[in-house]
Amino acid sequence: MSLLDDKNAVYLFTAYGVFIGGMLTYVVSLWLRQRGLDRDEQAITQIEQEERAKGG
Amino acid sequence: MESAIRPLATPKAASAEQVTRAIGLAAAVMLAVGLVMVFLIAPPGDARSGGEAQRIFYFHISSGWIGLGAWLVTAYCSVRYLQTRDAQWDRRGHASAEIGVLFIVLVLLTGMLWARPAWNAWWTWDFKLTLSALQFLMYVAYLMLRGGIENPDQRARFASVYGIVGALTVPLNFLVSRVLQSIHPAVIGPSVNATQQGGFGISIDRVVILLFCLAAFTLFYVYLLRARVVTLEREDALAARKAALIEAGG
Repeated sequence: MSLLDDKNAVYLFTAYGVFIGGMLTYVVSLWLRQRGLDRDEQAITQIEQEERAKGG
Repeated sequence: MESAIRPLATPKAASAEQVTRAIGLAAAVMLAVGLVMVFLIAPPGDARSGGEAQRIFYFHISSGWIGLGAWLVTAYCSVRYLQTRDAQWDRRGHASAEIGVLFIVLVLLTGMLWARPAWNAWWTWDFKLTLSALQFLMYVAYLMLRGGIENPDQRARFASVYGIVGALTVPLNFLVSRVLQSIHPAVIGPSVNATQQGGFGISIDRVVILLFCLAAFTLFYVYLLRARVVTLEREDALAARKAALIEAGG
């Protein structure tokens, strides 16, 4: 009997979908957070430059 | 697997980023090989242990290893923070707890997916299962505690104490299905648990695959930890710059 013929195979594939989906979601969330930080950094750098220009 | 950390300016940071990427790539390859071993090499379980669903065991145990181990890392980092007051230890503890949430969720969800065919129930309020659910809530409470305190020093101090206390549940979770009567099987190591259901013989081929999966998950955890610590460093640096701007403006 092959793996796909077993009536419990659906639980197996669902579980490994959860494993892979969960791990990928976290990696993607890290990447999105980095992108958000990049944007914040750009905005802060711009404001700092404007403040310096005003002060100087 | 593409690294989630951005290039940094200094040579040291760039080198650290390369190491993190290499670890991430190695972990991705090992996880893929682990999947092949689980689906093509591992023997199927018998009807009592869930049939083909028994193969969930390899990644389930590996997730549990990280889910519980991450608490111990958080506790170690918490102790080091309280000793040194170095914010880097606090960031490591924070990162480890956050990753721990992910893996404890994976343990709970995939445990349910195995329990349905093996026990004919998605969930029971068994001591072991309840304790695992409690650990998930404790991780979430740790992150909520951090989110609720604005002062960074106070936040790090409180979180460190909580991190150390929370880690006491780790040995309890490991031992509970071995020294008490529980439906949850204790496949590895000695056990006096006579009421377990769904257990199976841990043959040498299963041990080899399990050890391989444990190594893959450990490497993946190291990758995530390093990547998350970098984002926390950047968050803290940006928060300091923001505070300086507000102070200068006000």
